[in-house]
Amino acid sequence: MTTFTLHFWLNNQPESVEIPLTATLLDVLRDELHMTGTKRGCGIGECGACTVLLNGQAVNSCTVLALQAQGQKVETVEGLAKGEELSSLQQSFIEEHAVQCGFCTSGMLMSATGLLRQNPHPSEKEIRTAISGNLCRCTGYMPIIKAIEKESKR
Amino acid sequence: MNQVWIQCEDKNSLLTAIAEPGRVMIAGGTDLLINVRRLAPADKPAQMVDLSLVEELKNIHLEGNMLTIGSMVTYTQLMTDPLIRKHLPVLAEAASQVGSPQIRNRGTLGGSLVNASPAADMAPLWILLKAQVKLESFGKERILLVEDFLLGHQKTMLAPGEVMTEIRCLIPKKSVIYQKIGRRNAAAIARLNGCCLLDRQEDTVKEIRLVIGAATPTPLDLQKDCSGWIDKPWTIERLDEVASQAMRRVEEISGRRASATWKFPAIENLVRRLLLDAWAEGGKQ
Amino acid sequence: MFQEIPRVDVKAKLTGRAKYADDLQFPNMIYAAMVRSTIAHGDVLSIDATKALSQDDVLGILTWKDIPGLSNKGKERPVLVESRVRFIGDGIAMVVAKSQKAAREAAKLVEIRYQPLAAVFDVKESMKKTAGWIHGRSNVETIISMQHGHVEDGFEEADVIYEESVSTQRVQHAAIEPESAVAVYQEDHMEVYCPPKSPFNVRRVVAETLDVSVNKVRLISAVVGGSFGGKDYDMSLLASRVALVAKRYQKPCKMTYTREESIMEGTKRHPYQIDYKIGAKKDGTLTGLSVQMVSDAGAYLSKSAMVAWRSCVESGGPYRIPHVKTDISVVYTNQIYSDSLRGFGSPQVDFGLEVVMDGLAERLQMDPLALRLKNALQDGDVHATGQVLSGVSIEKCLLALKDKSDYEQTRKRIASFNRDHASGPYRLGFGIAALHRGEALGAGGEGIDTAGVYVHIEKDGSVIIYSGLSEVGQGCQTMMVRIVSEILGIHSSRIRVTTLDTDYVPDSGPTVASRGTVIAGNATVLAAEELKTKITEVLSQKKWFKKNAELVFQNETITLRHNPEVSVSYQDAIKMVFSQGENLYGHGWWSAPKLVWDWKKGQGDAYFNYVYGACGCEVKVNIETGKTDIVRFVAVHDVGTALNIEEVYGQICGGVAMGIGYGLTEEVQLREGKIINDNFDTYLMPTAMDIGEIEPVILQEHSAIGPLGAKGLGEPVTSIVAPAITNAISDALQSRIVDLPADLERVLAHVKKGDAR
Repeated sequence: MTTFTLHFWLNNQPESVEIPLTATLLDVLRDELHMTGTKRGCGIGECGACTVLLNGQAVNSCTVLALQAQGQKVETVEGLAKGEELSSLQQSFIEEHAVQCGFCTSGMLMSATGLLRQNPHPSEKEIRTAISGNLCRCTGYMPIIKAIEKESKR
Repeated sequence: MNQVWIQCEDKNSLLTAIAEPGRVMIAGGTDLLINVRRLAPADKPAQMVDLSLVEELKNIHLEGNMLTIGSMVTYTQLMTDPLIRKHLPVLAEAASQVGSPQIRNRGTLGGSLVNASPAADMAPLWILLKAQVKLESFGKERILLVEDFLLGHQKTMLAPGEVMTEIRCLIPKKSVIYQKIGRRNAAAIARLNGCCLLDRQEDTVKEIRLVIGAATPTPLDLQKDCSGWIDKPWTIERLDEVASQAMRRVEEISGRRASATWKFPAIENLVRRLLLDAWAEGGKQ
Repeated sequence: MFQEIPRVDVKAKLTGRAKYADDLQFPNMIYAAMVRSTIAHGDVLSIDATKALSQDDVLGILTWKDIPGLSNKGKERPVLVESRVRFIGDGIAMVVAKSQKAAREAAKLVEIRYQPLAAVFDVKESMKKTAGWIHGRSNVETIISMQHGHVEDGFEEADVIYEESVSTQRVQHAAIEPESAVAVYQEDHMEVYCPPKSPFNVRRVVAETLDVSVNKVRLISAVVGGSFGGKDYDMSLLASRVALVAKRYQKPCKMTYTREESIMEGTKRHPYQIDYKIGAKKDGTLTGLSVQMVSDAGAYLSKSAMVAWRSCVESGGPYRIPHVKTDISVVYTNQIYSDSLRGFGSPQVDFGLEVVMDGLAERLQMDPLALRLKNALQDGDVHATGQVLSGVSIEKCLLALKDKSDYEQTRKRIASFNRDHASGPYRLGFGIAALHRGEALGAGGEGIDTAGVYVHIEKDGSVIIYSGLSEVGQGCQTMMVRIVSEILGIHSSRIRVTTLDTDYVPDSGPTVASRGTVIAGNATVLAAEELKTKITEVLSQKKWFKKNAELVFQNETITLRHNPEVSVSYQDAIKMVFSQGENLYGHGWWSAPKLVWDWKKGQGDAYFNYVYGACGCEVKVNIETGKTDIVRFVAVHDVGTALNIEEVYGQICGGVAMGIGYGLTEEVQLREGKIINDNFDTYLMPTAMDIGEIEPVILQEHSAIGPLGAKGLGEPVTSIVAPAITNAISDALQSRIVDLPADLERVLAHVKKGDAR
């Protein structure tokens, strides 16, 4: 099978990996690099569990062709904490009890991170909009909205 | 077939790359990769050309009254672009209702037009605006109305070796009303959508443009159906007439299906609502 | 009120380090993928795997012939079918390959020839079948009844009789994590990693499939990415399938379903058709109720009878009705089978009755809240099961709802909006619903309702909790930490809950019926109390300890109640115990009180306790499109003493969101037995933009039986959301919605002609 070399920045570290032509960014993160914090929920860009930041923008990594990330910056949930120390957004998620089963959490964190970087003080509506591509079946979203709100006021 | 991956950074190299037969173009990938996922390994694309890095295709500019939008402009870019927000805000509004933030960050206007989904969010607007698309191939280009470009469900005029490079339209003198009906408030496929522009002098109608989408394989232009109104006064009877005419037009094209019990009354209501709101808007200076 | 404690599993989930089953990797791992039935009813004639086996990386194919033990059991769904397939999705074979993708692609190339049989998709048609049954000699699995008083007398006493037929649709759990399992072959046992809702059932089914005793199967729970009643029998099948492959190839094997496979295989909520007849006096006093139900079990039995029993018992709602007659038929069809789903038979009857209560109120020209308050159960009332009730809080819930929703003002505001905007596209509406719900498994549960928890104090004073109950995201581990920290008077940071491992924890039954808090919580209490006793025994040998003195465990210190001057630190006390050669292993085993149900009479002590709730919903309906927006949702629930109030808030919001999906957009659509909306682009759950403002109102009426006074919560919340929404839509449209979901089509059909203008 033909493979292609993908060089990209993953959480600010250079990374290279040999991949098939039609691999998605999610395939590469999970199956090749074993960065399993990014989750696979639907495979068609509907649930948002696989959300990562591509050049700072939230995208569904299951509908990004991995080779399109050539030379680009990709950020995943694994890049949020500094060692043992959680980011203040992650801390807000703890304080507002925004995590239940946790399967949507990585994607939620990435969508929220993307939002707050572009818009540090969003309205509640802007928060809801920013996570509207991330399905959560446990929390009813309210604790997550509160956590992001809290972070925006820090 | 040999597997090939080409990333182009300028239009010339792009046109060269796609001149070879068998090359599959990828823009944002939000539609394409869903389709690719379903294919057997042997049927997956073997030779792909990436459009997403061609900066020339990401510009939005205004010359006089002519707005030109690069085909690789994303929905997010459209939503936030100051020119668009100032001169044709309905485009930003419609873009903001597409899919989810993740899809808007990645999905492109050109990709969507080429994918030609009957439920495409922006398509009725392009038709109402009488927008044109520029199709380029090595050493050639042609310009088509979006109306002529879209042929049906995932069918377009795009020929092998051709790429859509830009979409352009004139800024209309009146604002355009847009409405989308989805089953939920985000990440929803349009069950119906539509747009309307109405120019009037006092109580007399001067111009109506009306297009509805997601009801037929390509958006349904109802401008001709409204032509009896021009230079005539606004009446509720005529409003009802146009609404039921819209329903009949859809029935002629798509037939009466099981979904019609909702769709037909909803089409009538949508047409009425668009016209009513556009009438109110048309009175504004 | 307790101090806030963070969730125990939260950090791993926030950093991406939590390992769900599909995240696990083992050396030399192989993968399996299913070949499933493409017809709804028939017999497999032949399986041709030639093409599949010729693909790169493909290792082989397994069928039922490769099962050493049981491939199926009675009316339960088989691990792999021997011949008969009963729905589109039944597992026929497994293709094994070196990668998940290769296995999946090859599975598509396996050719199956069938002898088709007539299939039935409609319950009413299925009931009439005189031949060609799905199981046994009838498609009606069972009819369960409840009879209280004489319903005909009730109707005779009535001034008003109201009849209505309602229906509920098929929905699914749709946990964001698709099912996945890994089996690792070991010399003397099989190790299974998966997200189990009922870990010991999974272990049993794997053992039966492999034909080994249960101690030869070790199930270690992966982090569970949501259950809501799913990942139950589905997980038993999936785990058995990977275990078969692991045994055959003596290598670790993983299988992860795509979302489409998860939807095709995953059990669903039972669709119901219900005919109601209810009688009342002019003043609203209820006199009689008849409820006739048909439940669609799909192609296999699972827990359909248990679900139906709960529906039967709860069919009279939280109301005083002297004469009740309920029958429910459980019927097979050739469709995806139904099983437990958050609410377990409650949402269907709560929807039905609450819609009927509004219909009756309209007929009586009475306010819907007043009608409910008039008939609300009180302490000492006789329930429709014949049981005398205590600890009834429905009236408190309804009054709290009235207060928090600003009921009368809201109604007035809505009426004037609708009057002032009669020519516009929007109508506002307000609707309410109320419920009672039996706690835990009840008398109709399979076996006895028990759980075991071990609490170990280590020599340094740290604590490990071993629980047999699955953490599915609901926070049961945090709940146990709370209890141990309260009873031993120590800081929660000293306590860790281990991963569930069937080798080390007692069988504690399934995480169902919102039973975790009460059943496992009480077991935790017993284990912690045992430790307290052990510590007390050692301390009682001290000089300062007078006979029968009582000790207080608080703030990491143990003090004499009658002389607080005398104290010893928790840390020192632990040292003392170990220095005397004693152990600090606490074992808690709790059985729910014995309950008896007389199946013939349809009466008995169904549950040891009921919980209560009420909710109100304001909607904005677009009468031109049929689109409903939730404006505001007030959810009042009596949760007993809240063990972790922030988590209770999250449970309520989550339950409401799931109920909004049930009410408005969710429906598994089948055509000739085939699911046509098989991913999240067409199966539509609410997003953050669709839930409006959810306002939980938490009542804390101490429970006599729950640990530290707590009550179960997971399911009651979801159960009454849909009727509050449809009652609100009916209020907005002045036309009654009696079927679910209230989607665009259904709502627009209820808009009166000429109204949409």
